[in-house]
Amino acid sequence: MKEFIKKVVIFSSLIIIFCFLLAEIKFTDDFISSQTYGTDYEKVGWNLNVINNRKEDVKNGVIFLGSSYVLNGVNDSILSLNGIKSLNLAIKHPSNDLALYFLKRLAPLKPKEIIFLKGKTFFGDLHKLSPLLYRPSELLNDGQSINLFFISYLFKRAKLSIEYLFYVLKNKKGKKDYDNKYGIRYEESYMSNHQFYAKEEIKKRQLEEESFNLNQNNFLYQSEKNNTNWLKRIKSLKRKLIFNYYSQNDLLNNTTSQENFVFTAKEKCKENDIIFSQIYLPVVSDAVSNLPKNEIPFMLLKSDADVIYFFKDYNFLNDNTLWTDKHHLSKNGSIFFTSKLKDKL
Amino acid sequence: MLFNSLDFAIFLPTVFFLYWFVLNKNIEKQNILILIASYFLYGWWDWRFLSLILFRTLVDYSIGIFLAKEERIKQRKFLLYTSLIVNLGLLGFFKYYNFFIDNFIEAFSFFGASFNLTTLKIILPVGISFYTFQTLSYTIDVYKKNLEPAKSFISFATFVSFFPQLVAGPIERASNLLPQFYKKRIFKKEIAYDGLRQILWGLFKKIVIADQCAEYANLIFNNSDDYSGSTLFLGALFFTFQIYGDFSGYSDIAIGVSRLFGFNLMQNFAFPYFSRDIAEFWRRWHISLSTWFRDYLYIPLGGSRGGTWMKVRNTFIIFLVSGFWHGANWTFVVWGALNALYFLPLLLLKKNRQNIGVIAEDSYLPTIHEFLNMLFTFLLTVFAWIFFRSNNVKHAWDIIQEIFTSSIFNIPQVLPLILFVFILFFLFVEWSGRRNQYGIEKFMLHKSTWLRWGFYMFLVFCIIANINNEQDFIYFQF
Repeated sequence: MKEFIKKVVIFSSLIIIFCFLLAEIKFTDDFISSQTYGTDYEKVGWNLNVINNRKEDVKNGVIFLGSSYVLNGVNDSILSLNGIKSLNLAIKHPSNDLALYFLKRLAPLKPKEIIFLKGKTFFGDLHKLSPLLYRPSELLNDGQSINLFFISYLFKRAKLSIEYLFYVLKNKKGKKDYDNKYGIRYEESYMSNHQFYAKEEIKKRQLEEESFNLNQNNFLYQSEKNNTNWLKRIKSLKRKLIFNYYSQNDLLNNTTSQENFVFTAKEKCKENDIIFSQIYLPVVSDAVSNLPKNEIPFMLLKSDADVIYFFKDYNFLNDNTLWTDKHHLSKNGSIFFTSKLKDKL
Repeated sequence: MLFNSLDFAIFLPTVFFLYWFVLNKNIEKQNILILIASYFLYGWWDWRFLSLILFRTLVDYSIGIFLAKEERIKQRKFLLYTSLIVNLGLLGFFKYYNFFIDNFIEAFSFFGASFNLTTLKIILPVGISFYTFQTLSYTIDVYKKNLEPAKSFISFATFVSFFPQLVAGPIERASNLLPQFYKKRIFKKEIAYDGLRQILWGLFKKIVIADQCAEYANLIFNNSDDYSGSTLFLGALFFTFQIYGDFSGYSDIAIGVSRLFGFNLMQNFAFPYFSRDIAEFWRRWHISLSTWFRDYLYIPLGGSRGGTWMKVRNTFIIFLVSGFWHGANWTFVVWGALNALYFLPLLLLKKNRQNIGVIAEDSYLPTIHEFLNMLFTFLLTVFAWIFFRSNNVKHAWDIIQEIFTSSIFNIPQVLPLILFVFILFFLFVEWSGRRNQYGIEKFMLHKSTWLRWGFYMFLVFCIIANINNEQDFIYFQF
């Protein structure tokens, strides 16, 4: 048995080492753009195009980074028209790793301020595109732990490296045209009234949000606080176990690494004299529910950013035409939200 | 949880460690661990259907015990029929209910009658056809007194839900697998290495061959109107390799995983595309299902003992049922009927057992005669797979019509050269290993460690280079 285990461990280690070496190959921007062109993540190529060819637009500007919340919610044209030079470089999917990647690329171009998305909930996993953008050594250096997410990332990166080698061999370079449809991109549909006021959805969302504060409340929901029922106690114990051994476990959940990326981002900004901020983008439940208004600052105050942008009251968004779905602002919603935001920036 | 997922890559070593290092001194505890692991794996997909497996296990275990005590023929028959009704009834409901309702309505509307029957939104439990047949074999064998009933509930429950082969076979006979749960399992490193090799080859077949072929087969079959005959033929070829790589790949992984735990499962595929006639093909393709039908359907129906009419009838029954087993669609029935038509001439001319051994057993290359037979058989199967893959019979017919036009001589519109290289490499390895249980069983086994490991490493990197998102195994739906 010993010999078997030894050989399996050696063989597996060799695979990991080879993958790591292969994954260290640096990809060109052209390859990265070619991989994302025509996909949901085409914005990556657009961003690289801005970084390489529109450096003046970045200098002294305010740059927004984050997920589709930011992508749909912040209208950089309105801000620029109001004298706040800004660019929305957000990419779909909530994660800090991709935002950090672009922050590092943007820092030498001297923007005035970089604004990350501040989620009300923890970000887990790694962005789908991390294998395309990050080398493993860079990712580890930026704060990623060696865990299951990293192993999965490593295999994907190794696969992409093989594709990259073929790409170089074929010498397949092509010019990609990025029109100005970005900065922001909208789904033109609106939420129906019925969806907008669906109580179950709002309740579900509230519970989701509350679950991230449960450690403050002895793992009891607000509604359970005065209930001494033994079943509630067991439920609270179960939540405690999940929180301590799953949500906070960096091997099974990538939240710690995601937090590390924010700290690294802050360091990078400090090194380059850039203001590092975070912004909270509301969801439907913020607009229609009567959540305790101090909850949002409570979550946000945990952040390590220089500035945090949020509103204590999001009722001004209480209209279904301002939303595409329960998480994303519509074009009108974005205009409305950004016009309020400009006074805070 | 799929065999080709990272979750499984964590699950397997964890169970392996507990099995050999923590519970190695107690067979019963090892069986309980396998049972928990099996239920966990199945529940990962949909925990609600665990109750279905548990219910069937309880029914068949109880019936087994009653059958052992009961000697009266009438009562024994009653017990057997109860098991058949429960097992086949549940299979029928989950798999065929909507099919029958749709066809019933359609058939009567043809005569002007209308019915207001509604179909149900039924989720097909993964692997239901596989474990139904596995438990049925147990009850039938106990009924026939060919097998002692299970000694303990845990052993029986573990036999029913044994995780490596639970969702897509091989469909194990109780007489082969059940006794293995009673005996102490001893770790043998040679068997474990062999298991790992088989898992590696299974993953290669699934990820490098099946998943890549699937991409092009799907593209061509889903847009068949846009393609020439030559491209459609190529699509059928890709599907031919996809289904073999997918299903035999799963079987290889299942057998390999079982070996790591000291279990021996039956061979499910024996290089079927190197067959010299259709009869040989069916002795080499999905062996566990073919032999199941042979033993529990074909022989009880009289097999090939009766007159010509009896032989024809039985052959058609077995192939049609086999086709229908794959799914509730007429395409599978036509596929089964087509194979029956291929098989009948051999049976009637008593040539169905002329190719029993391995092709080119004593030489490296086949004779021209063997090669032509092999090529002809292969083309017949490619043709039949068109029905298997198509959305409906009309779709299949349209594709076949296009293939038999002059556009078959056009240059195909889809030519993935790298995939062709992989397929050629795959065929070369399979051909080299055709005398063994699986392709790389003895491939480079006697070369130096460096060469051997280099080859395995090459396979691993081919797998990594071809990983897309985890793709389901085709046979999970059957």
